[in-house]
Amino acid sequence: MGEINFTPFEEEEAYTATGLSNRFIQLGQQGIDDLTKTAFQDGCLNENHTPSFLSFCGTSEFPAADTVASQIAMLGVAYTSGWSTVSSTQTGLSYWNATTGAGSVVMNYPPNDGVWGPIQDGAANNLMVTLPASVPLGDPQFNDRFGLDALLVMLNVQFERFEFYDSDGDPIDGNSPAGASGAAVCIQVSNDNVNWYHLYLGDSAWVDTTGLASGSAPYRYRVTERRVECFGQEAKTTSLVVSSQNFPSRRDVSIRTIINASSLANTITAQNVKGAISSVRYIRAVVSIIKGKGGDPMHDKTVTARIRKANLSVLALRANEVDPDA
Amino acid sequence: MPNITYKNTPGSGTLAAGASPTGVDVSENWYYPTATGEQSLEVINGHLDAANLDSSLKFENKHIQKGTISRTKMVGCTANIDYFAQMFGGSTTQASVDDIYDEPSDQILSREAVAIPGLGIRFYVPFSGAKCILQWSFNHQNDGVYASQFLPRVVMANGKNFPAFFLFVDGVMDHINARRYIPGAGVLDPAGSTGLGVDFSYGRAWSGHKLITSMTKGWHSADIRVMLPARGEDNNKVTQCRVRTRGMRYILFR
Repeated sequence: MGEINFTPFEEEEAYTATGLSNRFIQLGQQGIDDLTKTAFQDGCLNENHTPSFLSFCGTSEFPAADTVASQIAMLGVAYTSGWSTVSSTQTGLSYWNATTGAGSVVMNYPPNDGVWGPIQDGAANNLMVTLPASVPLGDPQFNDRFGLDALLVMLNVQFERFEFYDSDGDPIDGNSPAGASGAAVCIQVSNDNVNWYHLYLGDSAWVDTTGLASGSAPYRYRVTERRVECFGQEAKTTSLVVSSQNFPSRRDVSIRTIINASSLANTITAQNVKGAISSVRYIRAVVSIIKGKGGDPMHDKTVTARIRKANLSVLALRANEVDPDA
Repeated sequence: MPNITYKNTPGSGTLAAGASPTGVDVSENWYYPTATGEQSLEVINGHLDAANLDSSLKFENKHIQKGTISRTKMVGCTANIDYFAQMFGGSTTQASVDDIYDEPSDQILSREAVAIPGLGIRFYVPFSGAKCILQWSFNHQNDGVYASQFLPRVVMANGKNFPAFFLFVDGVMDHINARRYIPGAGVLDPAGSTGLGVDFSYGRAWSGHKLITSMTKGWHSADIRVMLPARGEDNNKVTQCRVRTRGMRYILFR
């Protein structure tokens, strides 16, 4: 099978209908119709024979048009973590969302490990890429058919500035209010555009010694998380934004990551159990605000971040992670 | 479709046991060209497709010609490269409009920009409709002054003494990948802190990307360009900007 095993006509052998039929079957149905690996020379396939290495690619880019800075709607989007004086709890996009006072800087257990919000363009659009269909990464039957084993994700974000306000909403400047405040950026995935999930490395041994965090242990490590910190003069001159004396932050964040079956296996349920989803269709970028631990206590202040530019790209690779020779 | 269905079926008709096939009958099974070729061994003249493969067959990397799936190249430099205000005479990072940002648009800023060696690449796209990932990285430091060092301390040029960088693809600025940064020499801030010269915490790194979902066949170029403000009369100036380790690469998919 897979090769032409031709039985030669022997000397004196008559050319009978049966003899000829057998040779035709050997050449055709048993040979050319069942070609195997050895039938092909190295380098025999080119672009005329192979599909694209990408079964899909898409990108989301903000803002949509170039304009003067003051007219970029995206800069009007405030990513804010505040403080409720009534309940003494964090509000908004709070990274340390279990923090209740100056002496505690705590995050709740997953999936409530911080409050995250999507990057937006100021016109209610999220920085998100949608695949044409739900992709069950790692499913052998799916993979055999489509050869799609992983998604390559690339994200760039430029933070424009960080703003700091006291409990009365007045800008803080002149001193160092930031206390190493900043922001964190992550990639999240979803299969329904409703329930979103972080991508975790797995279990973590770290435990909450304060007892303030709510939910079920363990904490988990978000593999795509990247942070930026508002530092020095960037933090000191926040309020100068209203007096035409900018000293913004303008820090770039980049994420390059692969989403595969292992990634989906490490999404977690509301009970902090792995395996929340087995298919993915939506990929987005999210932000959470980190109130600084150092300097002045920041737990009861308001920190706002602004984003100037962001772009997210997703490429569905026909890249099987299985050893082809195994 | 190209599974062979002989013009004259083996074992039946003139090829049935005991029948007497003619030379024409035999010849037609050797070679009987049709649009799809499946009626004779002529199928191997370019008509083979997935139907001819054994069900267990999986092609290996060695079967595929180099450059068929993707193409890529990278350029880079590690030596410092300095840009000076004199190169950008008259350019400004201050807009005439009086808004809280008081800065020109990316389009205006990029007019004076020049390409940076090690951050530019030219490449050939052999496939129409190819997908292309551009990726680059570099860091820079500049000596744009934020506030004057002598009393009375004043913020220079409304804090606009910053360099700006832009991705150009085929000579056209991509506003998504335009970056303006901050003065690299804080000097004195209004709160009275001291410190002369370049503050390294105000240097910035940019590792960017651009996905182009359809490129035309032919030659293309991509480069990162830099501009500095150079209006001494307005104190809107970055005297020097040093671009460090840098590289640009493309990955092309059909």
